[in-house]
This record gives sequence, C-alpha cells and structure tokens, in this order.
Amino acid sequence: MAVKHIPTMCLNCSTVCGMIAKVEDGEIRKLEGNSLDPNSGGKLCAKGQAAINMVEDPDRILYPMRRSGPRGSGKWERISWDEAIKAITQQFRTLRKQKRPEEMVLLYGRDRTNGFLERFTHAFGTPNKLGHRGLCSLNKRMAIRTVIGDTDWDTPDFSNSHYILNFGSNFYEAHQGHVGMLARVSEAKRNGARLVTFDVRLSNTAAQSDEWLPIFPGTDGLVALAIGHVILRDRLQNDHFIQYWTNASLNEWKAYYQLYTPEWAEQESGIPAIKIEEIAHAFASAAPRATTITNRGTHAHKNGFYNEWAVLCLNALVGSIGEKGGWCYIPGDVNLSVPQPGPLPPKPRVQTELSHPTELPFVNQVYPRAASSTIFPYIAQKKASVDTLLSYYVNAPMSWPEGPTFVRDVLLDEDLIPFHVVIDAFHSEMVEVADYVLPDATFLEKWDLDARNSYELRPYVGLRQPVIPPPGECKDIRDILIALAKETDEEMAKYFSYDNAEHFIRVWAEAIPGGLEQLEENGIWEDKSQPKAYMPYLQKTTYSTSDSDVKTDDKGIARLIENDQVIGRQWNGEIVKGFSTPDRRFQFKLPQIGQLLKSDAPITPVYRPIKEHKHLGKNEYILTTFKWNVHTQSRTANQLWLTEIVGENPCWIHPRTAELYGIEEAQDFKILARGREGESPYMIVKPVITEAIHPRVLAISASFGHWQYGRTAKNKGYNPNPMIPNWTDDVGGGQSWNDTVVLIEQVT
Amino acid sequence: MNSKYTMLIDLDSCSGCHACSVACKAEHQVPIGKNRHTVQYVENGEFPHVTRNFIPTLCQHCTDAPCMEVCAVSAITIKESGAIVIDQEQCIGTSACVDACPYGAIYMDPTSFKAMKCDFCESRVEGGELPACAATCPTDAIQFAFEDDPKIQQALEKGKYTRWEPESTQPRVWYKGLDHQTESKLKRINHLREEK
Repeated sequence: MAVKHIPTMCLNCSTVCGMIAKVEDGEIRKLEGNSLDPNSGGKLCAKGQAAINMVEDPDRILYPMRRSGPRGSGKWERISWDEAIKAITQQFRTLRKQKRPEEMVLLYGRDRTNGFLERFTHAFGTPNKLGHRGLCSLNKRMAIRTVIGDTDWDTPDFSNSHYILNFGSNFYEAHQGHVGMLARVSEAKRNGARLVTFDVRLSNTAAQSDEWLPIFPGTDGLVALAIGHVILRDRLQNDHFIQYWTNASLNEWKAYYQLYTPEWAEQESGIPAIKIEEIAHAFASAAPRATTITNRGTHAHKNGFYNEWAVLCLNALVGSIGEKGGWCYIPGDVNLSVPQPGPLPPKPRVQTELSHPTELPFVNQVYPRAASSTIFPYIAQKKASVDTLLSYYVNAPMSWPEGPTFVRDVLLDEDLIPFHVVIDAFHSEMVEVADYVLPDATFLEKWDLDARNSYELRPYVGLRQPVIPPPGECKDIRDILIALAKETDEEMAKYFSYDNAEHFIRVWAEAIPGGLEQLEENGIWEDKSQPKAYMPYLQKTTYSTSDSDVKTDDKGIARLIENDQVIGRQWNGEIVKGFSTPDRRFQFKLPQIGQLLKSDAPITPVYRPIKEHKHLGKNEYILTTFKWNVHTQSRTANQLWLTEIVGENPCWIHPRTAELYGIEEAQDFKILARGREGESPYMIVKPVITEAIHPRVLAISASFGHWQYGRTAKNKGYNPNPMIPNWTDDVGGGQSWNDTVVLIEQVT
Repeated sequence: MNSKYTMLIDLDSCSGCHACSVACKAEHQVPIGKNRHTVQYVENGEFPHVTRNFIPTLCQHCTDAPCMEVCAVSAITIKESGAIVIDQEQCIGTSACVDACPYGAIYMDPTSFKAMKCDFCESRVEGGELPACAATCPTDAIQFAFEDDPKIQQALEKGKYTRWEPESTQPRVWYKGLDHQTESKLKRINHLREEK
C-alpha cells in the first residue's frame, strides 16, 4: 500500500506548525514539516516529530469511564457514550432549568478550537469558560493590549532586524512561535544581526546569543527603564514618534526617566551600568531595525505587567514600532480571521468571581476571564459556587501553582466541586480526580482550522484533520460538545446543528478560497495578495478630513459627528487608523489603572520592586522554572523519543552556591519555601552544578513529576509546583512563577 | 558520478533543538537507547562568561574508515558517493566495528543483532530528498550536497570549517565553530550515558 502524505497541523506545543503525516496501512510512519506553513517553512521540531509516541501511548484512555470508588481512588468502570452523555446532560439540564447555568465551569488548558468551546459555554449561559492564560502570558498580553490596543501579542520582524534585545524569552526552546522565530533569528544573525539576552540562566537562547547577561529575577523592567534613561539622556530617541504617536510629550518622557539611572539598575539587577549604556546606544543606532522580545523572564513576576510595559516603551522611544526589522504586530485576533459560522449564541450577561474577580478590575476590563491563579483559591473560599466542572485538555493538579497540593485537594473535595467531568486523551492528574472521563482524540485524530501570528506578517490559515481514526471510542472534542448540546435541550442544540466535527469544519472552511478541499490537499492557505503588515497604525481609513460627518479635535483624534465614535487620527492631511487606544496613540500613560485600582498602582511604566525579594537573606535564593526544547509544561513526558533526550529535571545550582552548602554532584539537597503559612513546602532534588546560572537563583524545569499520565511519564523527576505559591500580579493578573524565595539545606 | 557527498554543520547556527536527532530516530526507527544521530551539549567557561555549544554528531563518513578495516566479512563499504554503509545481509554481528569507530557512531540493533549507523539517508537521497536531519533543521545549520556544489565550495572556502578527527580518519562531515576545547569534550555517540 502506498504511503499517503496527509497535511495537518501540529499541537504538541502551541506553535501549531504545519505538518505532513506520512501514513501507511492506517499507521503514521513519520511526521514532517509542511513547507507551505509561512512560519515554520517546512521545519518540524523534536516535539512535533515525537507526537507519534503520543498517539501510540499504551496508556491512552479508550472508553468513557465513571468512577466506581471514592473520587481519587483510581477505581473506574467502563460505560457507554450513551450513558455518559445522559448522566452529564441530566446535570446540565438541572442547572439550566434552575437558572443557575453559571455554576457550570469549563476549565480548559489548550483551546485550539478557536471559538467552539465558547460557543458551548455561551449557549449554556455560563461566563465561566476559564483557561490557563493567567498562568501563561497574561501580564504580557495585558501590556500590549492596553498600550497599543490592536492586539495582545507581538510579531517582531526578526528576518530584517539588526538588533534583537531579548528580555527573558527562551524562544530557541519554547515560546509560541518557536520554530518560525528561531529560523528567522538565526538567519538574521548570519546576516550580521546582534542578539542580546537577559536571563537568570544560560538558556539555549542565551547560549546562541551574542551576549548573555545574567540578571536578578524581577528586575528586567528596571533595566529597560535604565536603557530608556540613557536613550533620552543622550538624545538618541525618535522625537517624531514620541511627539506624534505617544500620549506624552518628550519633556514628560524625559522627566519621567530621569530617576532610572543605570547605576540604580546595576544595584538591583546586577547588570553593569556600563553594559546598560552600551546596549542603549547599540539598540538606538540600529533602530528602526531594532526590536525587543519578551516572555516569562520578564512577565512571570508580581511586577510583570510593568516590566512588559517598560520593555515595550523602548521600541516607542527609538521609533521601531511597525517598522521593517522592528517591533511589529498584526492587528486583530488571527484566530478569528475566519469567522465561525452562525448562528452564534449570545454572550451571557452574568459574571462571577471566577470570570471577573473583584480584586482584578483592570484585568476584568481589558481581558475578562483570563485570570487563572485565582480560580482554585476562590473555589476553596466559596467566592463562587460550582456545581459542575467540565475540564478539557487541562492538567491543573500537575502544572498549576500549588497544583499537586492545594489544587488537587480542592478538586478532591466533593462539597466544593460536586460533579467533575474530564475530557482527556491520557490518564492525567486531572483524570485522577474526575467523576466521569470522556476519551478525547489526540490532535492527529481531530479537526480544526488554526493559525498563529505569522512572522511573514500576512494572514494564513491551516487545517488540522485526522490523519488516522481515533482509537477505541475516543472522540473529537467537537463531536463531544455537539452530542452534549443536542442532548441537553433544544435551545442549546440550535447552535450545534452539525452532524459532526467534519461537517462543522466543512461549513466553516467555506469562507476560505478553495474551501475544505483545498485545505485537505495543501494544509495551509496564505493570503499572498496582502502586503506585509508594516506600519499598521499609518493605514488609511475610508474617511477623509473633508468629510462633512467627520470632526477632528486639537489632539488629532477623528470622530464621527453623529455619535462621537473614534474612527482614527488625522495624519498628513489624511485620517489614518492610529493605534486602537482611546486617543489612537501609543500609551505612555494609562489613567484607567488609577481609576480602577484604588491602590497606589502607578499609571506609567514603573519599576515595582518585588516585596519578597527585599532584604533577601544571605542564605535565601530565588527558585525559577523553565522549559526544555524537547518538552512542554505537562504533556510530553509520555513521549519516549523526548524523555530519552531529557528524562529528568535536576535543579540547576551555581558551583559557589553548591559549595556553601557542601552540595556535590549526584548528592540530593533540600529546597525549602520561605515564610509560608503552616508547614513550609519543601522538595529534595538532585543538583546540576553549573556555571550557567546566576548564583542567587535555582532553576528547575517543568514537565516532570507526574504521579499519573501512564507508565512512561509516571514517577520521573520532580514537580516544583508545591513550592510555587498562587501569587498574582495585582495589576496584570498574571501568575508570578519566578519569585519564589527558598532556603537551601543539606540532606544528611 | 565523480563528486562525493559532504555535510556541513554550522555550530554558530545550531540551536541544539534535537529536531535532527528525532527526525533520524523516526526515519530509521532507531531503537530507544541507540542513536545514529544525536546532539551533544558542551559547556565551557566560568560565570558569567559561560558558553554552551551544540554539536550534532553522527557517523562522520570517514575517507579512511576504521570500521571498514576491522569488518571480517567486508560488510562495510564505501560507496561511490563517499557514504560509508553497512550491508545488513553481509553483517554477521561481531560488533568489531562498534569498538573500532572512534565516534561511537555504530550500534548493535537489539532485534537483528546487526551493526547499524547513519548511511547519509541513502533511501531519501536516492529519491531526491535531503537526509532527514538536514531537511528538518529549523536553522539550516546542516547542509548536505555534493562537494563540488558551489554552495558547499563557497562555504568551505569562507567559513573556517574543521573536522572532528580524533584519529586521521578524514571525515566527510565538516563543522564550523568547533573549537579544540569543545572538540576535546565530545563523547562517543552511543556511549553518552556511560561516559557522563
């Protein structure tokens, strides 16, 4: 039988690269890249190729199950799909009849259904479609969304860049956009671009940078402000951009930055003042072909929002925003570029403490339903009542802060969560605490339309299609939700009038030239008629200054006379789009922070020292986490080709630090969390004694420490999450992963 | 065919991502614990002046191959293309070649008990494709072509390529950016764990 080449899209991480499955006799022989993918250009990383191991995991869930012992006992009975759907929808109907649909909470990890989950929760009437965004990238997204308004994610034009200033992103190993970024940055480097990386650890990105600058955790924002100080002090800024396209005058910028001297930044961050001066000059002289890039090193802190904002401002200072080789962005949500077919259910009006936590008003306004670290504490404190928890593709006990301890306890408590349904392909730590389990298809067995920000800066969309049928009785998430909706009641069913996932995708794909047939054959459709999205804020609108229904004010903001709706900004005699902020400019000041937060939260990008890091004792260290290039956070430890390369996660420790405590290679040591209520959590780990880490920092990779997840994953390595508290940036709402203060002890 | 295959590996571009080694594993169904191709990490220097080099390592396709010399049944041959291959029909599994290879590039297959290693992806290359490792490399750090290909010629002239050569084996694989210190820390491919 001939080998079929079936295009689809990877989902072994969230970069969603186009892939080609070579399939013979119903078995996947190999997974390779799809050269039509504008990001990956036909390359596929180790994780993508190892997805075969995932499909063939001998411990996959194959049938619907109901627990037959106490929750968490590991005792299951196999049931039919019919029984499962009936039991679950009975619960659903009760909630809907009793007008308390908000007590159904859908928790998801990786929603690449691009709207289908939301269709379900909206139809159900619950605002509680809750994800892991607050654990992942919320502070960064909050900063971008409030400061430029058009999007929540950056897409720097790496290919054409001459200077890339990296604050704590490990895009050579992880990051959304990983392969496409690393391909372009390595090419830019061959063409002479300079890559400079701040990180607490010599990541592989830092290792391939022209310079690695080991920085003290949580001080990235201060260093960015100090770079800004030098740029303004030495008059290296782009006056034009500041004057016309930011909401502060040059004098305001200058006065504000005066405080942030390189000397102060050196004291806090350990980055030499002279190095800060040098970087400021190099970055500004490379502009506009200069860009920053950030990720969890910058924002996974209690001061993450401000750190991100401070870094973002560097691009504004040198005028590299939207420029060729600069800090670019794609306006709009790329995931919604192909709108889903209607009818779509209305958005529920009700809000809960889970969807809109009162203590995060700024997040609720800018990014509702995105806070995550509040979810389990709030359930425990009964700030919101939960009847049914529907968990999809999420492994909270494994991968959330305090996951194996506090989160697991909440999930085991039947008073707090009376009914728990888990949709998963594997025996995850979430499945362990379920009442009903529905077997999910893996991404190689399901349908979707998907896309990511394209580093080619133009729209595209790809198809995820089954390359083999799901095994046993596993089902595509869309099939499961269609069945649940149809069985619940007619009102819900009317938003799910599709026979199955394939039918839905076929209808959805009609909006794409060539429809589903074209995608089934090629896997990717790219809109090559579009120019690259350079300078989106200068894009002309359909309005003109001479239009009788348009007025412009002294700040150049153009409005419709009729209803005061802002339509753009006056620019060179035309009305251009500007930024999608209230005054159509880049925001150096965000007055709404002050209005929303009654605290002293500043309305400009500021350095907020992390309280817990002040007065750090001589024997206290900061525990950080990271990802390897061959693993994701919690879903790859069952893949043999990957665990063969990295199969454990000992803790990185600097030789000087190790020496202080008499720690030697292969000798376990103890890490103890400082100052927690009750008994402090601790872990006993093996060291990796290495020069490649800041002496005040310990680093341990996520991905290991499963106590479930099948024979390959189970009982390998350490789970650092019991050590990491539910700490949230009170402005940006993101989880602070990298602020945990710990003590080191010898194990005798 | 007069020209011979050459592989150029640019360590300044390699990101250490292991896409190449997993591609090789998938292409040839290499058993767990054995490698035809793997990426080694070598760290040098002291904080904060630390470097980490990533070195994709595979059979070096020596012009003067020690494995060939020790094979009692002449199962290892050098093709016209320069690729060193092991004829699976001929191999009787003495494993002499495994010990003779200075790179540890040969392993005994646990099912067939025969010696196996990288063959420059003969089956793919015959079909006009690149070897699996080169095809998937996200940074294009692995180049593969005939040695008289202008791109290869140009790179060799300009790029300061050297070879990993613990003995005078004259490999067909060239590295850019492989310094002596790093080279001296490289391990034999199928002995990585024992030698750690």
